Amino acid sequence: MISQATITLNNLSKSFDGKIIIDSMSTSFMKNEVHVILGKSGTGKSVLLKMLIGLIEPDSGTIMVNGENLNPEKTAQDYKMSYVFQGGALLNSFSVLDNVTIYLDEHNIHDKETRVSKALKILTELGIEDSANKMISELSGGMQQRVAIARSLIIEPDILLYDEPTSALDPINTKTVSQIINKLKSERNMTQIVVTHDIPFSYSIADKISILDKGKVLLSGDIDTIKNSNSPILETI
Amino acid sequence: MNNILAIITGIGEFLKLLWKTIKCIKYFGSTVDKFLAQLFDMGNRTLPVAALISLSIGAVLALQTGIQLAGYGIEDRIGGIVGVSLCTELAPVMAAILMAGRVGSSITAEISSMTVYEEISALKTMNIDPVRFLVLPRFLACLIALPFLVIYMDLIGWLGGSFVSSMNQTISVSLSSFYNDLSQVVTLSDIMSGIIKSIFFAIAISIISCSVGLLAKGGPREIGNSVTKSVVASFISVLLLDYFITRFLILVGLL
Repeated sequence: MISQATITLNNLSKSFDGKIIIDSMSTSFMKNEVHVILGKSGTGKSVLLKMLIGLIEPDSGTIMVNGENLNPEKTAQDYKMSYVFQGGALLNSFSVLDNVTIYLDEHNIHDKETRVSKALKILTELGIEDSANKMISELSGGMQQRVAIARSLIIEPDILLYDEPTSALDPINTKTVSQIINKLKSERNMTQIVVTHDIPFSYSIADKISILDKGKVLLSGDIDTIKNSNSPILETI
Repeated sequence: MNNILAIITGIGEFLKLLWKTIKCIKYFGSTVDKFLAQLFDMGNRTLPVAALISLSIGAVLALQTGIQLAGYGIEDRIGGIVGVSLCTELAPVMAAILMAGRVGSSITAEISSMTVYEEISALKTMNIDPVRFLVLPRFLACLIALPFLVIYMDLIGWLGGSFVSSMNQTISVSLSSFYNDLSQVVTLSDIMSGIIKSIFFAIAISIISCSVGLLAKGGPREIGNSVTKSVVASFISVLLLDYFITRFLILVGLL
């Protein structure tokens, strides 16, 4: 089966205060694959992800989603795209359930009962249904990350972007996140793009890995290609 | 030069956010619960301190002025002086300073923390407008709370002034004489002028507090810097607005 590109980048560039962060990047993210973007801190991984979701506008180049140029007038939900932030970025003054249903609540989608049942279904899928009524501050970092994933799943995305999902997690919670990503891959057929600097974690989830350095893709391929490349850049990550 | 540029940029950001907030007023229906929560929170934060401040200001004003008036044998005019001073100037300015210090600082701390920890970005990715979600309820709550706080401070300040005037042996003006003079001197336009001022103060405080919070950049340290910046900017705005609104009110004959 030939995979279709969900997202295609053509000569994408971004600078801040004259410093080039993304340098004429061209790459594709295929449908239903887990594509890991690996790189050191400050190599432009998060900036790239924020350009994909529309939080940052590129200086030049194009982003195509499902063959259509990314239109800044359209929302991420129009492209069925969702984002899991580093650290979760959850609303601390809200309960877990309110954080998960916030998108449906604010856009008045479904009645209250349906919203809650949808949210509880996702929380159950991620194994945190018992914490539905807890406040965010009562949860551990790993639980918060799972709530962040649940909040992203409520829009039923086709493309899910993760920004350093394990950066503040211990090995046990890192393993849980990798299990969730693998589960979503097998059960939901989503395109998942994961930015990380955690090499073992990336090997546990990736279909494809791109190594980013100085705003460019230095190396790209499946896990074996990356492992066999003996690239010195891997030592620096 | 950099400071002037920062002030101009700040004014620009203020006006931009004010305009966006006004445009969002049509969505008020969907933010009623957040508005009520903010209103309740603002009341909770300010009412006890406002009572203490206004009681003390009314009492000290009556004491200092009353003793001077007693020297000329016109201490029975104390009610009018305390009444007008409080409702036209002291209550609106003190209420605004209190609102900026207690409420504005907490708004900035909350919103700047949300900005620094990417909660605002998360809202944007879900197509939730932070102005509608965060700024509008705080703006409207402040707009309602501050005029009521001024009336509340007027009443408590008058109470403090009347108690001191009646209990101080040098002044010794009975409660009925105090309120009799107050009711003859204080006009509805005096009370309205304080309320008009408070509406402008509320706009300035709420928008400055939200704007500084939304523009926070950097790490957690920026939260503290943002709070300081917002409180200082609010204080200066209140004092400047107070002067220009007073001039305007004199010009239109309200004062």
